[in-house]
Formats: sequence, C-alpha cells, structure tokens
Amino acid sequence: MHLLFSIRTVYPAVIAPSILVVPILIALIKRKYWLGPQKILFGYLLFSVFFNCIASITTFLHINNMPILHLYTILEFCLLCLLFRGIFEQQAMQKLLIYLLISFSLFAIAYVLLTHSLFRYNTLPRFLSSITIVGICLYFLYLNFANTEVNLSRFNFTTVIGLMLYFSSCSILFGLSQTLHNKASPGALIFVWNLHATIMAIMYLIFAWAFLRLKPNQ
Amino acid sequence: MSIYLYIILGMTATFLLCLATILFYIKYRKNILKKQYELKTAEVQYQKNLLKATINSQESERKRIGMDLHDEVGANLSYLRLLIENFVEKNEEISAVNQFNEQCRAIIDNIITNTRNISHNLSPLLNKSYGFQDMIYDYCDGINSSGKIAIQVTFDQDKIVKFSDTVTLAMYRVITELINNTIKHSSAKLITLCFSFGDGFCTMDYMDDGTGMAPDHKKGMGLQNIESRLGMIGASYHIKDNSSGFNLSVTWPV
Repeated sequence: MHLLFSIRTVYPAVIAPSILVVPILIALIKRKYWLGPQKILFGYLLFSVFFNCIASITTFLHINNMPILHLYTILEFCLLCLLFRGIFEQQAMQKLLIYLLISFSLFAIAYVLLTHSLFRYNTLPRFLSSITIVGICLYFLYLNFANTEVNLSRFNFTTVIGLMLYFSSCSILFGLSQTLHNKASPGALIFVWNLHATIMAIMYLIFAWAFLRLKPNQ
Repeated sequence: MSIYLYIILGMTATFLLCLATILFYIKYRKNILKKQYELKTAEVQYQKNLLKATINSQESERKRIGMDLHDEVGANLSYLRLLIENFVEKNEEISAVNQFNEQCRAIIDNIITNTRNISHNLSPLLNKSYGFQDMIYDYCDGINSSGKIAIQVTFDQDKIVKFSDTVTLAMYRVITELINNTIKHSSAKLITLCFSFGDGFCTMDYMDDGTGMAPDHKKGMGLQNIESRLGMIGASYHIKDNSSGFNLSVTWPV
C-alpha cells in the first residue's frame, strides 16, 4: 500500500515539478535579453525548484511539510509582487504592490502563528494570495485592453497569462483544501493534486514560451 | 456529490473559462492592431499619392511654362528680330539705324538663347525623341563647357536606355540637384556618374572629389526633394563613405 501510494505521488511530486527544467534552460539560453521582470521570473523558477525539491523529499519521507508551505506562500507572493512591480509602469501601482507585499506577509505570519497551526494547510492566506494575483493579472489585461496604443510586451503578456491560468484555476482548490483534506479519500486527494500539478506544469511551460519569445527590444 | 468532484469540476471549468477569455482577448487585440495597421498603411499610401500628385502637377506646370516660353515668347522674339532686319534692309544708308540694328539683334539673340535655355531646363522632355542618355549628356556637356568642373558620364551598355517619363524626369531632377549641390557646397573639380544595368534594375553611382557631406549634416530642401523623387519611382539610395568626397548610390526598378 505504501509503495502504491508512493507511485501515485510520483506525478505531482516529481514528474510535474521537473518540467521546471524547461523554462530554466530556455531562460538561461536567452539570458542576454534579460531585464528586470525576466530576472525576477527566473528567480521565481529557481525558488520553485528549491521548494519543490524539499516538498518532494518530505513527501517521500512522509514528513508533514506544511510549515514549508507557509513559508512558500509568503515568499511566492512577495516574488510575484516584485515581478508585477517590474511589469507595471504606473508608479501608483508599483506603490500599491509594495503595500500589498508587506501587508500580506504580516497577515500570513500572524495568521499562522496566532490563529492557525503551523502543521495545517494555510487555507485562507493561500486563497487570498491567489485571488489577489488573479486580480492583478486581470487589471494588467484590462489596462492593455483599454489602451491599444501601448505596444504590449510579449514576455509580460505571456507571463501574466500563465499566472492567471494557474491561480484562477487553483483558487477554488486552495480555498477548499482544508475541507478536502478532512472529507475526501486519499485516492481523491491524489487525483485533485494531480490536476493541480498538471495546471502548474502548464504554467511553467507558458513561462518557457515567454522566455522563448524574448527579443532584444523586450 | 463528493466535495472533491466539485473542486475538480470547479478547477476545470475555471481553467477553460480563463483560457477562453484569454483567447478571445488575444483575438480581439489582434483585430484592433490589424485595423490600426491597415489605417496607417492607408494613411502612408495617401501621403505617397499626395506627394506624387504634387510632383506631377509641379512638373506639368513647369512643362506648360516651358512650352509657353518656347512657343510664345521665343516665337515672338524671332518675329521681332525678322522685322528689325527687314527694316534695316530698307534703310541701308543710315549708319545710326545699322548700329541700332546690331544692338537690337545682339540683345534679341541673347533673349532667344536665354528663353530656350530656360524652357529646356523647365521641361527637359519637350523633345520626346531624346533618350535618357542624351538628356544626361546634354546637361553635363553644358556644365563641362563652363570649365569650372568636369563631369564624366559612363553607361555600362551602349544601347539606348528607355525609361518611363516619370522615371526619366525624376532621375534627371535628382542628378541636376546633386550636381547643383556639388557645385555650390563641395569645391569639387570632378564628378563621376556611372550607370549600370542589372536584371530588372538600374544603378547610378554618383561621386565627386569634393569635401563630402558631414555625418551629422541636416537634410536640406534639396536632399528632401531628392528623397521624395526617389521614393516616387520606388528607388532606394545609399550614401557611402564621405571621407573622400560625396558618394551616393541609387538603385531603381526598370
């Protein structure tokens, strides 16, 4: 049973995260065209590799890795806020992103330490962070939808599409994950997290596409 | 239904909805950009047509003035010369009249020559039997005869070159403008004009041994006119290294 469980977790814990290699390699090939947002996204990819490795190891050793998820949620949100700060040109938006970064980090830390266990899934912060990111992505698309005069950067656009697809699809999972862990069978849980891993892999492939389309003027 | 099914359905539905929205967004933007591009292309085409019409009307106006000068003023002056000659033949014994005759004839000859020059300059295609080569040779001979500067013209084939009227006139104007610029600004002693013919195109290399053009030189009216005329006939041009005189290469389709 243990062996079977391990085989079934190979896809979400090993195969899907290993797709990260693709955008990282393409990003390295295109490193001469990097500007601010590309550097931050590359940092985000390396950060994801690091945390995925830790998550995979802890999963196979059957160690509760929820404390790592709390840290991952905060750092991921901070990195994405910095990425959006590089993407948006409006100063007001850049300021707002810094306020969001600070306030969310404080909220997530306070939530875990004061009202929540460190070893339980952080439903609310993860859900809030994903909803916020979807909101920022929608605002980016709205800005460029309304203003057709702006020459849309293909890298920024593709990156935002990847983030929006992943976070909008998985918001419902993040919001209901604690309930799911309490009520669903292990098989169902694996199925849902496999779906999550697939969408995450799609996001990484979209990032790879964004790097692949990089040109000197972007 | 179990909660995990709701979550799976919710995730899949949101993913597909998001994907559809993004695809719609991309298609909509592409349509808008395509329309903007078409609008800009139409605007550029309109500007080109306007320029062409302006140049054409300018040429036809020049041609009209040239013909008027040639037919009206020139003819009348010739007639006047004849009248004076006849008048003198009838009054040979009067020396004062002879002197008057000489003076009038000299002045009128001068006016006729000037009028002809002006009319030919205004409308070089007045005589349609002229080919492009003849026009260029004629013009350069005129400049060479002044003795101030020498122009060498070479064509890489002997057959008579026949361009359309638009191309002939545009290239003639470009060459005269270039020569004019060389004379005015470069202190050059020699101008070399080489025409070579390729498959479907003709190239003209214009060189002088003057001071050349500074790299940061601002485009004046003359250079802008050259650009406009070359653009009108679909020609491309390239200003080469100017360290030893002005050097321009023009290629146009034939």
